[in-house]
Order: sequence, then C-alpha cells, then structure tokens
Amino acid sequence: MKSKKGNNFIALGIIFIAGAIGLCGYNLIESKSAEESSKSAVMEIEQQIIPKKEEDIYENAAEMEIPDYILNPEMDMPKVKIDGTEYIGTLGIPSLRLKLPIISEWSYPNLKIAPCRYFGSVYLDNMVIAAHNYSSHFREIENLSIGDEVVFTDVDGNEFFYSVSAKEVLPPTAIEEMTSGEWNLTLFTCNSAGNFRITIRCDKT
Amino acid sequence: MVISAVSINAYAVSENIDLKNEPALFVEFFDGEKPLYGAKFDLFMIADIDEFGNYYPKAGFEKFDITTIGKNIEKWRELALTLEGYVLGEKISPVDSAVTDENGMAFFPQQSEHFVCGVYLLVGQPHTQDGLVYRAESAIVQLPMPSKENDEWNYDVTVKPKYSFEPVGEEEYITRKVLKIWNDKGFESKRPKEIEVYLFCDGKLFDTVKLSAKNNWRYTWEKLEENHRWNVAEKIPEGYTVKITKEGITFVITNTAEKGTPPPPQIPEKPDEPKLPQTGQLWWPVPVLFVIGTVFVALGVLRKRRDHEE
Repeated sequence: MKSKKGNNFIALGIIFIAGAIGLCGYNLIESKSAEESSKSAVMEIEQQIIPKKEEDIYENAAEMEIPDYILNPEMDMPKVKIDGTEYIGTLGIPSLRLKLPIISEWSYPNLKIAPCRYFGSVYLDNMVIAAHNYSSHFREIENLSIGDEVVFTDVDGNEFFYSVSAKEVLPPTAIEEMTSGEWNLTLFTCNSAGNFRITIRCDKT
Repeated sequence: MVISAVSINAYAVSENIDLKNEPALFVEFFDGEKPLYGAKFDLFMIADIDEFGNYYPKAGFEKFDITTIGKNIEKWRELALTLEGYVLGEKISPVDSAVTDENGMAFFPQQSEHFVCGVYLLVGQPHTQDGLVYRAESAIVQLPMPSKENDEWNYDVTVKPKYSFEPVGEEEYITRKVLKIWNDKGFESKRPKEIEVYLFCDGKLFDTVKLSAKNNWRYTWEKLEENHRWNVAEKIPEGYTVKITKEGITFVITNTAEKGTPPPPQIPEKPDEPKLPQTGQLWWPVPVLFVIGTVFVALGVLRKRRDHEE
C-alpha cells in the first residue's frame, strides 16, 4: 500500500515533467513557425513588391515624382497582401541582424506570424510596432543600445531611418504612454515573465 | 518651361458693376516675341456675377469652391485644373471658342450673341508651331476685372496664358499618377467604396480606372506619349466637393465632405483592450512544472526506498 503511494508520486512527477517538456516543445515550434513565416514574407515583400527606386533624372519640376506620403501624410499606409495577411513594409535592425515584415493591424493570430503595427503611421511619425518575444522577432530588442540604427521601408520602397533614443519598461496598462506620439517610432515586446513591456523609443535621423 | 504668367489681382472697387456693359476678353499667346497663331481657346462660363461682384455658380458648378476666385491666385490656378477635368469629364460644351490670329491674339466673343459679365474658364488646345508643341495652362477669368490703375471696373480684359512646350519629334514616354485624398473626418461612412477616375488625352477620354482602398486609392499610368496634354477628372461622389492639383507627375484629387451633421460614430461591439497586447510566450511554467515534477519523482523514489527498507 505504502509502495503504491510512492508510485503515485512518481507518476504525478512524470506528468508535471511531461507538461514542462510539452510546453517547451510547443513554444519552440511556435517560435520556429513565426521565424519561417516572417522570413518568407520579407522575401516576398523585398523581391516582388517593393519597386526599385530610380534616380530622379528630371530637371523639370513638372516631371518629378513626389512620394505620395509627402503629398498626403495622413494617407493610409499602403499595404500588400501575402497569403491573406496585409503588410505595410519591413523593419530592419542591423545591429541585431533582424529584418522583419510588419503586418498592418495587430491581432493575436497576426502576432504569431510577424510583428504588427499597434498604432499610428510611419508618415505621421508616431508608429508603434508590437511583436512577440520570439528569438526571431523582438526578444533581442532589449539588447539594443542608444544610437543603434533602425530602418523602416514601406511597400512603395520609401525608407525611413531612425536611431534608438531611449529604452523603457512599461506596465501592460500604459496604453496612453505607449501611444503618446512623442517618439517617431516605438517598438515593444514582453519581458520573459510577460508582466512588463520592454519598449524601445526611436527618433528619425 | 513656363514663360509668362496670368497676373490678375483683386482690387477693391467702390463702384458697382454695370451688368449692361458687354465685356471683352483678349488672349495674347506669345513665345517671347514670336506670336503663336492658329491656337484654339475654348471658353466655359462657370458663374454669373452680380453688380456687387458676388458669384452665382452655373448649373453643375455649385460643387466647386469658386469663392476663392479673385482672392488667392494659387487656389485660382488649382481650381482651373479641377474645372478643366470637370468640363472634359462631363463633356460640357464651351460657350465660345476663338483662334489666335497672325499677331498671336484671340478675341471673345466670337459667336456668343450676348456675351455677359461673369466668371469664365479659358482652356487652350495643344498647338503646334515651328516644330514645337505648346500647351496653354487653363485659366479662370473674371469679367469685368478691377482696374489696377484706378478705382474702376475694366470690361476689356487681357490674359496671357502660362504655357509649356516640347519639341515635336520622336515620341518619348512619361508616367502620370493619380492619388485620392479624402478630407472627410467624421463622414468616413459616407465615403464611396470605389470611385471612377478618367484620364484624358488632349481632351479625349483615354482611360477609366477605379480607385478604392484595394489599390490604396491610387493608380499609375506608364508609357504615356509625352507630346500630349494629359488631365484627369472623376465622377464626383454625392456629398463631396472636388479639387484637383498637379504635384510633379501626380494628379492629387481631394474630395472634401460637404458640411452637415456627421453620422453618429459606430459604437464598437466590445470595449477596447484595456491592456497592451500580451507579446510573451508562456515560458515561466516550464521550469515550475519541471521542478514540481522532479520533486514529486524524488519523493516517490524516497518513499519507495523507505517502504522497501521497512
């Protein structure tokens, strides 16, 4: 009878350990899947959709191509659809060797594919981007240093250059602070415990 | 290349307009000292004017903000481009047409029996001379105009249209873009889902495209022959006014919602997320579960060992 109790303890322990291994495996598979979907979307955006910008050869002002966002900064950010998901461009962080596609609107299913626009527009200098803390997404942004370069490229091929200006840790309720628009670009993700948001503030260079 | 300018300024005139007085419009079309002869200009009437200088838009032109006429030269030019697209799109017939003579001069009226005071749109047709194609910029003309010299109305008005020119020869290709801007905050639900935009080549319909959110409300025409005059117009949505400007190679069509009571904002079905998105994977239970599991296994092993010893 007593020995049976010992067996029960062992069985229960194995269930817990199996749970830990299962959760770990699920997380790794989810992270790998996010990495692959992001890579494929970036390639699609870069190779097929973003037109190559040509040098403006016209001296005549009437023949100059003025980017649409300059003509109308309040325009909706143009999007391209890849596998049913709408993207607004790519985000490059050279110091982390990261290049990621950015989905137009955030949702939990979208966050499992790629980083998402949480708020604002790159043309209004108030965009906020959220991403999971997968190793292939924003896990490493906490290691960014002040002055590190960040580049956003929209689907028209317009490039916007930023440098990291500040790092903050915000509580999950700090929606107003996150979207206050005081910074030209903001990136955020959860810390490993999930109870704070690691926030990177950037200014245009 | 822009050579000359329409320079008409607004001056306050104390006396009223004599509407019985028949006005005259002279067009001087010169390339430097060289008169441009045989160039055709069409005249469209866009508004009546009363003796106090107030405008009354003609039928079809009510949706345009002609109140800026005479007050802001830049807006006046923008309006001329918008109206040019409108008269082409709606196939409106000119009230009169005139051709420049050997001295580069055209004169209105030509055919109108009763040429009356009012506000007119002057549209020049592309004109070829000495191996060059000249394109006059459309202009808005008020008849009569306040005199610059004295406090009087000038019933004989002379206009020198701005123009551009290119050599006739091998066709080169250009690109033209159209970009739609909605100026309708609070009225977004009234906005049509799509809108038709017409591209005109020398006044004739060349292409029709549909703009919508799907194509980001814009379109690009490539490989258009350079030596032609290209303009755009749109089917103006109900409840909106339109303004067309040209910025570089882009025609910007701005639709502004007419004033009224904005529709009530749509109430979201559920309140906004009170927290920032949860962007972390569930890692913390992994070590916890592992430690608990290990403790249980250890306890089980110890228990079994103790039972075995007993």
